[in-house]
Amino acid sequence: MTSPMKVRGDAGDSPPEMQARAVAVPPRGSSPAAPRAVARVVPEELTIESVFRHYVDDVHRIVARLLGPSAGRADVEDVVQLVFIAIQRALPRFRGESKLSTWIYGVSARVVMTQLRGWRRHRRLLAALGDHLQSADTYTPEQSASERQELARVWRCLLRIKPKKRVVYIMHELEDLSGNEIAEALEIPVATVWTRLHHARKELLAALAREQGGTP
Amino acid sequence: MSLLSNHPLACRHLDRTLSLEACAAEERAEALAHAGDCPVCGPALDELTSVGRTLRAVDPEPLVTAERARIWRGVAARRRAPAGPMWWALGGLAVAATAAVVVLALRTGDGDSDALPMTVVMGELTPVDVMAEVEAPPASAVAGGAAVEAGAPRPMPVSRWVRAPRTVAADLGLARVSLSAGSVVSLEPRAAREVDLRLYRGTASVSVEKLAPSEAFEVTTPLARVKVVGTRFQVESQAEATHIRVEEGTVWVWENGSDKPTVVHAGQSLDVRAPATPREVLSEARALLDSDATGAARIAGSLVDQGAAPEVEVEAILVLADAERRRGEAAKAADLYRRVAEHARGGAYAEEALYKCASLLGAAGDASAALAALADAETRVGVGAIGPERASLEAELLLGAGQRARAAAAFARAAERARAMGDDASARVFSERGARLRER
Repeated sequence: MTSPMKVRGDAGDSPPEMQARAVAVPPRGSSPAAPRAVARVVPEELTIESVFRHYVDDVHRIVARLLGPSAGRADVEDVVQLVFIAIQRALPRFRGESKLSTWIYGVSARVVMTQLRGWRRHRRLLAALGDHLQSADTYTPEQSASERQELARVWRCLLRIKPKKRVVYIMHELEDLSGNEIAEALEIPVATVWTRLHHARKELLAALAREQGGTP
Repeated sequence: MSLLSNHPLACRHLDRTLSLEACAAEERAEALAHAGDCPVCGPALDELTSVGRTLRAVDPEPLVTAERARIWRGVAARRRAPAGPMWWALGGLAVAATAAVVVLALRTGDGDSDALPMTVVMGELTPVDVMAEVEAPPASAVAGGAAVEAGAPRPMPVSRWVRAPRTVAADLGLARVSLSAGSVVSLEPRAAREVDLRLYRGTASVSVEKLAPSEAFEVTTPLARVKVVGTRFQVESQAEATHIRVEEGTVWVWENGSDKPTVVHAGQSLDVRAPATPREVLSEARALLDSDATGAARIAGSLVDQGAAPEVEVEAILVLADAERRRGEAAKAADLYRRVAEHARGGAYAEEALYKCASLLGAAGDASAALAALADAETRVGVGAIGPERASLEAELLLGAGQRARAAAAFARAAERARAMGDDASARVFSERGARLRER
């Protein structure tokens, strides 16, 4: 038995030239597909252009992970654009009280949650999982059929969890953010983070069990 | 793995096992030790580990340069403030479309010895009435002259519009032009050695030799003006955007409403987008809800004030209500939610709106008004999409008012609805709460 829980230590190593002003998230390190450590120099002058230059890849990855593999690449690009529009609007109010990368995580997550709030998009994502195995263009096509099937099964269950809990789960499990970082990003208390994570896990297990039992 | 179907969340330690991060070190060690032996907690952790592995085994494909550029173009286009009045409002001309197909020779500067020899080399062009293709212009813009202002889109002489039924190659003297099938174009007479090709719809691929200082070649679309010196480029005009791609040389592009050109060099392209539609504006407001509720309220409010189409208006009111709720304006938000429910096109949103209205009223201590809103929702939609949540809120309100028996019945109804929707976890919670109330 291995525990999926992580006890977090200090921030991971960042390139020396970035250490002075870097924003680092500890790498998971155990998986070949472990998320890239986010180590970014805070742009000297905070403009939408500089933020875009530094963070577009991260925002794209976060949005793609939060939307899941059934979202097409065009869908992801569309939401990424909305994230940067939101960032531009909110940038004048960024006071540096949290790390820029954490703040960007928060804006991204909120935009995605808003996008997922509609029943239609939710159902579209769910429906697309059926043919995801053949048509998804967001993820690499290298997985075997059984891996894709397993991925679709897990995501079918994840999509049954409410977006606010799912977002916390993915930020923690895939983006490797600590409870404090998630709390800061989503502007919620740390205790709420743990509650949402706990419920997400519990609901995920229940959904997996239902799926196993053939219950839709 | 079927651990949960065999032992449906049966271990009393499972809650702690699923919250290891929130535990103190000692408690965490204890929980892990327990999970090692427990037939529920151990496999549950294994299953979560396996899920994590599955999720991490795939990763989104990283962006390539072209995608980054496309995203940035999209961001830039969405950031742009809406431009001036729609160009077609300026025309006010209607032309009787001629059904007959005619072969036209496009000429400018007739009678001028210096005129460019411009001839359609091949193809048949059909006179076309572009006014018939666009929606009726907004009443405010039809009023006339006021809309014509510096930088505003310019009217095109509709009497000259022709459509290419297939790919057409034309020699316009200064330039060779290939028009895609279906393109709608006209030529604007100008000075002797100047050509202004008006492209309403379609794609024009243009090849221009080096021009003398006295010569000029321009392509104008409803959204932009493109001026060249000597180059090869392509202009694609669609209703919502004009796309310019330069293969050789340099072009200058003036967007409508701007007197400062954008220079586009060889290998570059530029998209000029039309002013946002009400639906796009609404989408922007919705995207702002969480990060900038005041901004979202301002945008959604302007849509409501401008009198958008009813199906957009009702969504705008809903967004405005959500924004006001986030700003802490509970009373205002509750009124707006009620307005959504009563809107002529509010049917699809009534349940959500009344539920949110009831939540706000309940939080403000007005339980009877909140219960009335929930009763209204019940009458309108019955079980609906969020029936369990509504019944549960009703139960909480009744409980707050000391009506335990009715609250228990409402919890039972919430449980029944949740179960019918396959949400067993919620059903169990509602059911337990109802049972506890009855026991007391």
